[in-house]
Order: sequence, then C-alpha cells, then structure tokens
Amino acid sequence: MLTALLLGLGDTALAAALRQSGIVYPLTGSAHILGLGLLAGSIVTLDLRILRIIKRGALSELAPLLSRVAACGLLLAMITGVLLFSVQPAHYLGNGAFLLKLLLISLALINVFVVHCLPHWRAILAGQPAAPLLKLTAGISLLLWLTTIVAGRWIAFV
Amino acid sequence: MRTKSTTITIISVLAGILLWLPEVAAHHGWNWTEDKQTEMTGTITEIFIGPPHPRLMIETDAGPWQVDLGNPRQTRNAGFVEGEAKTGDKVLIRGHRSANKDEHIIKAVRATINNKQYTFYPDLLRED
Repeated sequence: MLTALLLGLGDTALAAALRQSGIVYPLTGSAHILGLGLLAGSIVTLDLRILRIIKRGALSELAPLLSRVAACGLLLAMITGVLLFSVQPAHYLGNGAFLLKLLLISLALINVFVVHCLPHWRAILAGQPAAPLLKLTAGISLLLWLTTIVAGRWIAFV
Repeated sequence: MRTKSTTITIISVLAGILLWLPEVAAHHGWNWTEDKQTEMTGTITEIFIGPPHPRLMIETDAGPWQVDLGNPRQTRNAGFVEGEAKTGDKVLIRGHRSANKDEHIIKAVRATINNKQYTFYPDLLRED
C-alpha cells in the first residue's frame, strides 16, 4: 500500500519534469542542500549549547530560535527530498543507504518528539540549566542527524 | 581545557570521515574503472534516462550488469533520449569495467543499439 503510493510518485507530472528538465533537478538538489544546511547548522549549534561545549548565549533565547530554524530546514529538506526521490522511487526503495537514512530520520524525529514532551525542555525555555536527561537527548540528536547526512551521501555510492 | 579537547576530537573525527569518503566513493570520473577499454554485449532489462545518472541494466552471459551512461547532458548530446531503446533490445557496450571484479558495473563510452551508435565520451573513444 505505502510502497504502491511511493512508486506512484514516479508517475506524476512533477517527477517527469524532474527527469526531463536539465535545470529543475539541480535546483531541487540545491534547495535540499540548503535545507540540510539550515537543519544541521542550527541543530548542531543547539545541541552543543545544551551539552555546554558551546557556553555562549542564553539557552532560553537560543533554544526556541534554533529549534525553529532547524524545523524550517527540515521541512525544506523533506519537501525537496520527496521530489528528488520521485525521479526513480523503485531504485531508491532498493537502496540500503536510503532505507537506513529513512530509519535514522524516523529515530531523530522520535527524539525531537520526546524532547518537546520533556519538562526539562520547558525548564530551559524558562531559563534553567539543561538537565542530564536533556543533555543525553542532545547527544542522541547530534549522532542521529550527522549519521543521517552520511547515510544520505552514501546513497550514490552503493 | 576539557571542552577544547572535546571540540578537537569532534573536528578530527569529522575530518577523518571526509578524508575517507573519496576512497569508497564516486562513480564520477574514471579512477574507479579499469584502464583498458573493453566491449560487452547484453540484453537491456531496464532503462533509466534522467538525473542524477542515466543507466541501463543489462543481462549478459556473465549475469546482470549495470551500465553507467554519461551524465544527463552528455547522454542527451549522444542522442540517447527516451524512446531510442526499449527493454529486450540487444546492446553492445564499449567502455571501462569497474576495477573491482565483484562490482558488475561498466562505465560506457559508447553504446550500440539497433545498429545505432551513442557516444557519450567522444574524446575517450579508442578504436581498435
């Protein structure tokens, strides 16, 4: 069912345009990289601040700002990612690095959900220092998003 | 002090990954292929014309092989566009095989299908 839906993406007019045009695909790829840049740049900064490897700046100011920039970057990366995927869905669904990347993104999103449910997140927004549990989630976040980038780059090399 | 060494460790690990990547990498360029140009015949089982990289899947006497064509622009300039070939067509590939014997990929310099030649890399074509 889900597989049929994903494979069907390849039959859309948009997918055909991406395959045929000489400029749409590179532009979509560029926007995808911009999305990654915004996501990784802000989330790495935020995670390092929570871990106190970066000490500058108030978390109560940085956390809402950086998490929103990260969310915007993620949204851009996901929209453009679906477009890039639609060019050859069956090929990517058979690509181990791509499937690993989806798994890593799923885990990272679960981590995001957990963080936003934690009282410790509201605590740092209220100006309190980061609790050990929040530091753990920051470490997990760093690991998952960075490995997502590596898995994504690996798609071209399997 | 501890913070500085942690930062240095993180940067070193990332730099290490970056340095290591080109080793496993890249079906771009030719440094992953054999130097010698060889020919191979097969039957087309799959055609993909589009970004990031056009390719054929072919069935040969030695099993299935992947044929990397030129990049999308080079492939179009070679005249190989949608409709030029279909699955089941016989193809003669002239190109460079992967230097890794376990990797059944050939990078095509030229493909011949239905007596028509598509030369993706005119400058690299070596005639016997």
